[in-house]
Amino acid sequence: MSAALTRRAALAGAAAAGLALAAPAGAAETPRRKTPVPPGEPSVLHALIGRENAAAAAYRAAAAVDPRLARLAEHEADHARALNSQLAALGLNGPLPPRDASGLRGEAGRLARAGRPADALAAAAALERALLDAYADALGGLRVANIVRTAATVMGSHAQHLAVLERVW
Amino acid sequence: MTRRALVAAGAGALLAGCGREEPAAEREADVLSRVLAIELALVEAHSALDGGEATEHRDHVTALERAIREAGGARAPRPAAVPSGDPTEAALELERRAMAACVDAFGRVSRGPRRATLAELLSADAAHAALLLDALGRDPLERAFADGRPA
Repeated sequence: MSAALTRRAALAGAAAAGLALAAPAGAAETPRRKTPVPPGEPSVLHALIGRENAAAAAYRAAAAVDPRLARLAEHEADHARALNSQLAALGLNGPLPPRDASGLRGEAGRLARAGRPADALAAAAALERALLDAYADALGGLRVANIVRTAATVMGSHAQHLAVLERVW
Repeated sequence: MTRRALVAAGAGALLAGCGREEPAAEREADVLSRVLAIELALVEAHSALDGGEATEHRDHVTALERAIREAGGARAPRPAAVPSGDPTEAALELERRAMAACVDAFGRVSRGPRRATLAELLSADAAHAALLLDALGRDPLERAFADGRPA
């Protein structure tokens, strides 16, 4: 959790300074907009969408190793769409998904590069834990009720992914 | 000035100033008490099943009782009724109700520790629901959003 807090602090600081939002850990660089993402709700949403995009790309790559993971790629893409809708309601666009998994870093990168099913499941569990931490951190600071609730339902979905990865598959 | 420009100029301040947060029409203690009533029923429902989930739900009860006291609430709610019939189905139904109550509560409680408590509860309830679905021979990942609604 401390890493997530640090990440949020860094994002808030960058936005407050009028800097373009940095890509979240695990996302490939796909710059789309040149205007800065303002602080608060939009910057948190922007970061979460980046993480969901990266997770979806990683799961798509890892599905070559374990086809069950394609299902999780679909969920992550659904999450990104839902969060993008919330951001669009604020008049902003979210980050574009990475073109492929080659530039992914962090937990998403490790999942995308897993060569065996057991490694892919372990990497997927690590990715889901990191996403849970990110959402728990984000939920502490969001203010708009609809955005809070959307983020909460996505966090619950990641908890389900983790349970299935660790106790069903 | 366009809406986009307005947002870019200071969405954080706009959001804070425009009343986009849901008004505190209901006491937070009452909102949390609704979740507690379901968690109390979940302790009973899971006590009829194998596994350690009943213990987890007792922890949820303790955390919620503390949060309710801190929010100025006093009276413990009556537990929700445990649905009749198959105990696994009953537990699943209650987990779904708990998830829905948590999601609703997220938009009604202040930021900070109470949100952290709700995050723990929702994560656990969602995970339990997935495992119960699997135990029932159904798809444990039936939906991409854990809002308590069935597929």
